[in-house]
Amino acid sequence: MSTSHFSPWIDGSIVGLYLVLTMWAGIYVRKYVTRVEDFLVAGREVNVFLGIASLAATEFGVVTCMYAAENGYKYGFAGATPGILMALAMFVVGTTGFCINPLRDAGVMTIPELFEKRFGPRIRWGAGVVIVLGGLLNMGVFLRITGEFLVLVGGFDLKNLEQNILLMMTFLLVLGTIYTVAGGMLSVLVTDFLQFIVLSVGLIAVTILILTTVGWERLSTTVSERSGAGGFNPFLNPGMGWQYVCFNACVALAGALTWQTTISRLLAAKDAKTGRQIYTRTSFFFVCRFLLPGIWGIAALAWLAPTAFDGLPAAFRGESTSLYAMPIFLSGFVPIGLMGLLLAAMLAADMSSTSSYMITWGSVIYNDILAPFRKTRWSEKRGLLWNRVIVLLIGIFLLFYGLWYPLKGDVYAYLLVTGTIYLASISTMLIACCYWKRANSWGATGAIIFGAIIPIACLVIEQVKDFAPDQIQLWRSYTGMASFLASGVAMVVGSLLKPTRANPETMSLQGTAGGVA
Amino acid sequence: MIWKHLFWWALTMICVLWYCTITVYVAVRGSFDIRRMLSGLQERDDTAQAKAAEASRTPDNNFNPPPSTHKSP
Repeated sequence: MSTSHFSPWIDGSIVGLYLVLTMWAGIYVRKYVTRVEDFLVAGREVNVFLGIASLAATEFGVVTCMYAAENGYKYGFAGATPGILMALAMFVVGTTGFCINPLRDAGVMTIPELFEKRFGPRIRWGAGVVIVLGGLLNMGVFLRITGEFLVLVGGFDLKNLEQNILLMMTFLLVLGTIYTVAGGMLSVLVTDFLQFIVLSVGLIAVTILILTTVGWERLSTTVSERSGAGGFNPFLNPGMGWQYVCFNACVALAGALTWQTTISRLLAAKDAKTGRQIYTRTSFFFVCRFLLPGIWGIAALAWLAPTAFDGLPAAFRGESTSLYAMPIFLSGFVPIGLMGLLLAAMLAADMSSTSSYMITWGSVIYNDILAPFRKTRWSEKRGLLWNRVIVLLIGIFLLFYGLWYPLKGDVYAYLLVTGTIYLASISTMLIACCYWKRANSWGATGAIIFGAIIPIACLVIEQVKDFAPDQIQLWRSYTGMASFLASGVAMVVGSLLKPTRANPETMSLQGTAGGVA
Repeated sequence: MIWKHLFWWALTMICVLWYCTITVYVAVRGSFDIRRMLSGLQERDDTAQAKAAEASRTPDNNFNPPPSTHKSP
């Protein structure tokens, strides 16, 4: 069944033009990359507006659009709560410079590099491993979900569903990998800028079309009928509640402090002040990032008849309806011409996220995990080659993980749990590293272990045990909060247990405020 | 219905307006940032190349390590 308004000539040309432009820009800047620092942090030459465009484009992928729309479909307007919490966290961190000031002033390329100064090389390595583990598991589902979105919206043949999804995944991955391997962070920044413009225009145009065609009245009535007061208030929503809000508040703050793609913009900024400006000025974008696609999800609920899912493969029905309703709705709702812009916008969203995620996790692998293996200083040429190989290997991992990992429950909840593997421990360590004099390697080891074990166990148990949809949400919120709590307690107890005199390298790095800057 | 859920209505409208404005503003200012970033990197490379060329032209500038003060036993 295909009811898509996609026109190969008109919409296809718009998508083609976007792709040619992006690829040209991404490959063109390759000539400016001569050092590893250029490849990983763009030579630290990033100014405020490029930083805003890049951060916004990176943090908005197709997967973001899908889970935000799913939240809207399931929880109504209350589904945008995580976006509001993220915006608050970004604004507060950007305004106060909490942790990010000392981090940027330390002149490091990654967070684990900062930890080495305070906790030693083993902690740097361990932190690198959990960051990469959490990050790669997190982005492992991006490609598949994007592939599914494009297949549904583009009106591909659903009889050969798996084949078409694989084709789309490979196509997206190859495009993003080519320019990321070529120009690293520099290519990512320049293409992010173009992608920000394309995705913003597409996002705004479709939202305005929905607001004018479906109308506010119908959207809010649909939410009222479906969820009652819970559709507007997260504390009254049975699928959310205080647990969900608390866990999301922890994730929002930890994400603002340590999410590698966000931090990489701070570290690529020309100084700490610019980095803080990027944070504060991008903060409201996080509300848009949840609310606008959330409205798409609500519109799907209001617009689609129950029979809209008939004839679709089993993978898109039943429990998965909430995830796939938005692309099914858009495929028949968005007219020719705008459809091309929408697809270009979504391709832009995906390519900017994938390329940026690949380069940032790659930077941790090169800078921190491989650090013990670089006994002597590597030449710039060798360093660049290794970075390119790492990005390529991450791309291959993404393809296979996306094909074989069976996703259960909400996409957003999965991303929260996998992100928590490192958010809990690394944020605890960063705060302690910057502001607590007694923090030491014992505490850091405890924080890493306890922060990672709980979410990993949660993922394994989910695969073994069958949860009801509402149960899984609660289970994830509780385990997520437990990870943050356990990580904090482990940091305090571990640090207090270690004799102070046995930690000379830590003592020598402590400033008057106990920080590292 | 708007008054009943004024918070979400206002937030949606602010999002659309803010996003429209910021897209245009960032598109203009960001293009200047890119130009500045690329010219900065180009300048740095040119300086490095000029220094390398100068060093290869003047033999006096060749790096000679200081004589070792370490005495072997």
